[in-house]
Amino acid sequence: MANSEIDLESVRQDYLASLQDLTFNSKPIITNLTIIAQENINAARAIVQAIEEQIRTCPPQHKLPVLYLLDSISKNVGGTYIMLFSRNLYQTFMDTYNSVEQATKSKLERVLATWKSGPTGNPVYSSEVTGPIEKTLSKQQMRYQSRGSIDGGRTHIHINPNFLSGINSNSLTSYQQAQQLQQVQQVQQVQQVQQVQQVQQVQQAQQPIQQTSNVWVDAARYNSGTSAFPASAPTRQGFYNTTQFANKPIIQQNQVFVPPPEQQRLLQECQALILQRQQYALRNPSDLQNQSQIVNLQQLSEVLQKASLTVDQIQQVRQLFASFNQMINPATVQAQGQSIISPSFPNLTQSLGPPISITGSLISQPHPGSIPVRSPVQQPPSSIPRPQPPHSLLADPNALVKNLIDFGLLTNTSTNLGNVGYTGRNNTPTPPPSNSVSTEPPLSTVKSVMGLEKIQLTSNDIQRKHEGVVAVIYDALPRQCKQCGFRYSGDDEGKAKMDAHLDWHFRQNRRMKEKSKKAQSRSWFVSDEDWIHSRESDTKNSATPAFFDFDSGTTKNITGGNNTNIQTNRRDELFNESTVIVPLDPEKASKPCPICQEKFQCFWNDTDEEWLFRNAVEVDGVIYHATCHADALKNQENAKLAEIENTSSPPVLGKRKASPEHISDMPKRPALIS
Amino acid sequence: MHSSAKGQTKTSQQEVVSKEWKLEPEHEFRFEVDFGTTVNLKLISGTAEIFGTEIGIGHEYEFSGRKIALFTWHGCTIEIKGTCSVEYVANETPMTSYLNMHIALEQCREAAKSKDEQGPKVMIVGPEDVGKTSLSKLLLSYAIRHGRQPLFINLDSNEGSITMPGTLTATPINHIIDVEEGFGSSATTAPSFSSSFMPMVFYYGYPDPSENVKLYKVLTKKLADNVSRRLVEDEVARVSGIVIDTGGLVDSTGYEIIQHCVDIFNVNIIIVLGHERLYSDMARLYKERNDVNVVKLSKSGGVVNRDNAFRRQAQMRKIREYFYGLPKFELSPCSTLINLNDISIYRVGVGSLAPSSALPIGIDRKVSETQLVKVEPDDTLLHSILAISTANNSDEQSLLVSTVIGFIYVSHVDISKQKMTILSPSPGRLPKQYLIMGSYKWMES
Repeated sequence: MANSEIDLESVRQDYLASLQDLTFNSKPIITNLTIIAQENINAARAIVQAIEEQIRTCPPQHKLPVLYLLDSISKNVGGTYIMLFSRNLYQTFMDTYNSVEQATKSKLERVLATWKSGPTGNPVYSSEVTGPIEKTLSKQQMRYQSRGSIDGGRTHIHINPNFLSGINSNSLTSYQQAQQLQQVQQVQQVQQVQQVQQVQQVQQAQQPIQQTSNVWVDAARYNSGTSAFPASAPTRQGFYNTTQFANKPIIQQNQVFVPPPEQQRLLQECQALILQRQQYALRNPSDLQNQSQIVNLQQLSEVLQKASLTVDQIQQVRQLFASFNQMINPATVQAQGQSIISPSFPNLTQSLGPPISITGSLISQPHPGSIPVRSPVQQPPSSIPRPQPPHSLLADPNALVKNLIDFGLLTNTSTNLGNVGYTGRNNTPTPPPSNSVSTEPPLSTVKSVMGLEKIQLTSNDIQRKHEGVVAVIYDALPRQCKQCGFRYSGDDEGKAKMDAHLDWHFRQNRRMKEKSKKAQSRSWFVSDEDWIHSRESDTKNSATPAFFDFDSGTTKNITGGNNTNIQTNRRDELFNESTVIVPLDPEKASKPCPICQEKFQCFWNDTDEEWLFRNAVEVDGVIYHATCHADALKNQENAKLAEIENTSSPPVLGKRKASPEHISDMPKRPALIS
Repeated sequence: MHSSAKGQTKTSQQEVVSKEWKLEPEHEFRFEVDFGTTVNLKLISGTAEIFGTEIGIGHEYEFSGRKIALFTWHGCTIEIKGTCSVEYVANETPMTSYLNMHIALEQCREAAKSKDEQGPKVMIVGPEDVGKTSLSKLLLSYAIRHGRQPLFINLDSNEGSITMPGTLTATPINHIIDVEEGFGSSATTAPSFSSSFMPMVFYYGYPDPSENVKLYKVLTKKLADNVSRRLVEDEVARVSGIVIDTGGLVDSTGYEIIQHCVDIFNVNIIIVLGHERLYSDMARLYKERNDVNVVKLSKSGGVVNRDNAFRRQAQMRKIREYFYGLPKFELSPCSTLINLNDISIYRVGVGSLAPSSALPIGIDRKVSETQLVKVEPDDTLLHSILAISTANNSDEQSLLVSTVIGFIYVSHVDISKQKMTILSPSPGRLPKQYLIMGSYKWMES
C-alpha cells in the first residue's frame, strides 16, 4: 500500500517487462500500457526510460508497436510524458526509422505527421522537436524516392491494422490472407519465438506462478478442444506458456496404461476392422460414411488403449464388432455413420483460426510450424437427412460412443488425443472431435420445455418427479464448451452462440495473458440511469475501458463483437481495397479528403508499382475517402427516403460536414493506424 | 483440520492430498473448505454442477473458505486435491424439486414470450441458512442455460452476493455464474475469468433490514422502480423475469418486508424455503390473490448453519474481495490521501448516532429514520467502509435514494491536517464527493 514512495526503478522494471508483450501492433496491449502509463504518471520518468530502452534494444520488427505506444501515450496522456519524450525523441525516432523496413518507415512518417497536427489540431510535439526529425527524413526520403521501386519490390511483412481488424470478424478472405501472411512470417517467428520464450521464461521465474498457471491451464484447455487436429487447428495458447503446457501432456503420456488382456484382444479386433475399412476406403474414396466409421473406430481404439472398460462396455463393443463383421457389404452400414456431423470443428477453425492470425506474429504461436489448414478431414455434408438406424442400438457406433462418453471415457480420450497430436504434430489427420459426434442426442427423446407436461406452481406438483426434465438442461444442449462447461443447443442458433462464446473465451484468455502481470482494479459501478439503459453487450465488455480508439471498427469489434460492428468492419475492409493512384500533382496529392478533412493514407502497391491512396475513390476529379463518400451517399439517400421536403436534399459535402454524428466520429479516426 | 483416508499420496509439503470420488446419478458431494486453505476440484468424467452451473471436464476449480455441494444428474468421477474440513456424499437432495421449479419457471417464460408479457418474478423467502442464495443461484444458472438473462435482485444486505455487505443490488445475469467466485463479482478493468456483472447498487449499510425498516423500504422501492423501468426496455430480461433473494425474514418485521417487496416488485411466485409456518402464513396471506403463487420447497440436507463467526468472516472476505479481488485474480486498489474538505460524509437516520440512554429524557430518539445526518470527520471514521453516492448534491431526496458507484475504506484519519487516507478500488481522484456511512467496519489484514 505504500504508494507514497514509489520505487521508480521497480516501475521501470515492471513496465519494461510488460513491454515485452508488445511485439506486434496490438491495440489492446497498447491501450493497456497507455492506461498504465497514465495511472503511474508519477513514475513517468521511469516509464519513459523503459519505453526508450525498449525501442533501443528490441528487434527492429518490434520497434514500430513500441513507437505506437509512445504515440498513444503522448496523445492520450500527454503532459509530463510529452516533455520527457521530447528530450530524446529525435534519437528514439531516428533509431527506429533507420532500423526498419520501408513499409514501416512510411508508418513512422504517418506517426510523425500526426504529431505535427494532433487529433485536436494542436501539435502533439512542438516543431522544435519534430522539425529536426523531418529534416533528416526528407533528406533520406529523397534518396529513397530515387530507388523507390527497387525497395518497394521487396517482400516485406506489412501488418495493416485494418486488415487485422477484418480478421477478427472471421472473414474468410482475410483468413486466407492471414495464412499467407503466416507462411511468410514463419521464418521470422522462429526467431521471435525463441527470443520471446527466453524472455518469458525469465519472467515466469519472477512472477508468482499462480497467476500464470491460471492462464495457461485455461489456454491448455482451449487447446485440448481443438488440437485433435494437429495439422489443422493452430494451437492457441500463448507460447510463453509453452514450456509449462508441454509438460502436461507428457506427464499424461508417461502414465502408461496397460489394458487388461480382454481389452487387448478387442483392441486387436478393432485395429483389424480399421484396416479393413481403410482398405475399403481406398477402393471407395467417396464413401463418407465409411470414413466416418473409420473415425469412430479409431476413437474406439483410442479408448481401448487408454482407459479401462467395464465388463458391460466390453460386451457392447464386442457386439458392435460382431455386427460390423456381419455386414459383408459395408455400404449397408452407411446409415449409422451419417449422423456424424462435426459442427464444432468448422466452428473452431472459423472462430479460432482468424484471431490467431491477428496475434499472428506472436502471442499465440507456440510453434512456428503450425500453419492453420482449413480442414484436413473431409466433412460429411451435414444436410443429409439421417435415416433411422435399422439396426439395434448396439450396432450403432454412435450409440456406443455416446455411451462411452457418458462414462467420460471418450471425452477424456479426445483430450489425450489432442495432446498427443500436439506434441507429435504432422501426423496423419486424427479423427474429428468426438464430443460433437457423440453428444448429439437422439432427437426423439429430448423435448423442449413446452413439450414437457406443464408443471403446476403448486407445492405438490413441484415435488413430484417429472419425466424428461433433466434432458432439457443437458441433452437438449449438446454443444458444450470445453473450457467452462457451458452448453448450447445443437441448432444453428446454438452454433452461432457457441462460436461467439469461444471467441469470447479466446479474447478473455488473450487479455488475461496480456494483463496478468499488470495492475488491475475494480471499476466503479454504473449509475442507475446507465444501468437501466445498458444492455448485455455493454456490461459484458465494460471491462475494456474505451480509452481511445485507433479505429472505431477495431475497438468495437474487440470489445463488442456484435454483428453490426462486424458488418461495419467488413464494409471498411472492402472500402480499404478501393484505391486511387496518388496524383502526380503534389498539391492535389496533399489535399485531405474534403468530407472528413483527414489526409489519405498512401502505400506502395507491389503489383501495380504505384503509390496508392487507401480507402479512396475519385469522383469528378475529387478524391474522397471511400467510406466517407459512401456514408455521404447513404445519408443523401436516407434524406431522400425520409422525404424531407422543406430542406431540399443538401449537397453531399455540406451535409456530411454539418452532421453532428460525423463530428463526433472524427476523433475516433486519427489516421495513424487506420 | 484432519486428513482424509483413502487413496491419498502425501510425499512432501507441497504435494497435496489427492483422491477420487465416484458419484452415482443424482448424488451430491458436499464439502467444506476452511478459510485459508484451498481445495482443487476436477471433474474426471460424467457431468456435474455446482449450484446449477455445470463444470467442465478436466478443468481445475479452486475453492477456499466455501461450503459447496456438487451435484450430478448422470453420475460422475471427481478428483479432489487438498484437505476439506468436511466431505461426504449424500443421495437425498431436493434437486428434483428445484429442477421442477426451474422447468415451471421456464414454462412461464415461454408463455410470457408468446403473449408478450413479463416473465416470472420469483421471490425466495425463508429463515437464515436454508440455502436461499444457493437456490437463487441455481435458478439463475438454469435460466442462463436456456439463453435467458434474468435479473437477480439481492435484498439480503447481510451477504452482498455480488458486491459488498450492506448493499441492495439488482444485477442482470447475462452469463455463466462462476463457481469459484461464489456469485461472481462486479466488473473490473481486468477481464476476469468469466464473471463480471454490472450491478445497480444501493447502500443500506446494515446487515439486518429491521435496523432501519423505513430506509430499507425506501431503497427497495427505488430499486424496484428502476428494475421495472429496465424491464420495459430490456426485452430479454422482461421475458426472463427476476429472482429475488432475501435475508432471513420470519419475524413480524420480516412479514412486513415480504409484503412490501411482493407489492413493489409485483412478485408472482413466492418460494418459501424450509419453513412450514412461513409457508402456511404466506399461503393464507395470498390465498385471495390469483396472481401470486406460493410454493413450498424443502431445504437441502447439505445446508449448514453458518455461525456468526463464519458470517463475519465471509463479510470480511467479501469486503476484501471488493478491493483486492480473488487470489486467482488479484486487483490492486489504490491508497490515496484526500482532503476532508473535498468530501461530505452522511449517515442516514438520527437514531443510529447515539444510544437512547445518552439522550435527554423525553426526547424521541427516532426523529426520522431517513433523515440525513452529516458526519463530522473524526477518529470514528477509522476502518469504516464508506459508499460513494452518485448524487451531485446533498439534498435529502436525491442523496437518500441515489445508487452508489463504489466503496472506499478509511485507513487513517488525520484531523489536525484535515486529511484522510483511503483505500480506493480505482486509481485517480474520487469521482464524487458525497459519501454514505453504514455500520460496516473492516480491518485490513
